[in-house]
Amino acid sequence: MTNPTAERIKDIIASSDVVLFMKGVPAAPQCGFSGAVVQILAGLKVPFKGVDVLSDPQVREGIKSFSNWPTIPQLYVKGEFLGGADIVREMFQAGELAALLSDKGIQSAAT
Amino acid sequence: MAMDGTEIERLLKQAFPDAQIAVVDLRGDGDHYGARVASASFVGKSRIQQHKMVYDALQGQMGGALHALALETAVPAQNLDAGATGPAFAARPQLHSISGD
Repeated sequence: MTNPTAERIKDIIASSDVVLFMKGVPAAPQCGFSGAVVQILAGLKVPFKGVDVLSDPQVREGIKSFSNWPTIPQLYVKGEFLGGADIVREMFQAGELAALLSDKGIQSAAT
Repeated sequence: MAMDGTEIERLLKQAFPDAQIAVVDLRGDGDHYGARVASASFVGKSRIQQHKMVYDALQGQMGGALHALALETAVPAQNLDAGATGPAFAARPQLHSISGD
């Protein structure tokens, strides 16, 4: 039995190298945590697809069970769940985020 | 809906009896917390696994009654040789006052 929301989420994650499930849109985040991740990605000049969960209640709930992670934002790189705002910030500060993007062949300000 | 900081600390202590735990009410509104947890049980675990362990310890409150928790996990310095990832707890910078929505 397939779960249509999970299938849709898989398609969204596969649609771009870097996908951020967030509250609001990148130009106008509706949550400080989402805004922090947008700022980090923008600072690294990483192209990403922002998915506004506030405008899609099915994805908003579905993404939490999909990743077994209770909160938004959630960042995916090449289909892999990287973490929420705290993890992304820690990785950015340690230089690990830029290294990971470069390893995956994704263009950023660090490469 | 807010959650008491002492309740967060109690749940964390229950799940991580060995841990150094700091819970801060970031805005003083009982709704936006920051927590640092350093426990030997994080040894060898990825950041995602560590954060999931903390969310599990909060027994489903995260994303529910507990609206925002800026989380920082670490392995105590004396366990660092055991193959842990990430820098020692004591060497971590101060928690950022990041806010939820």
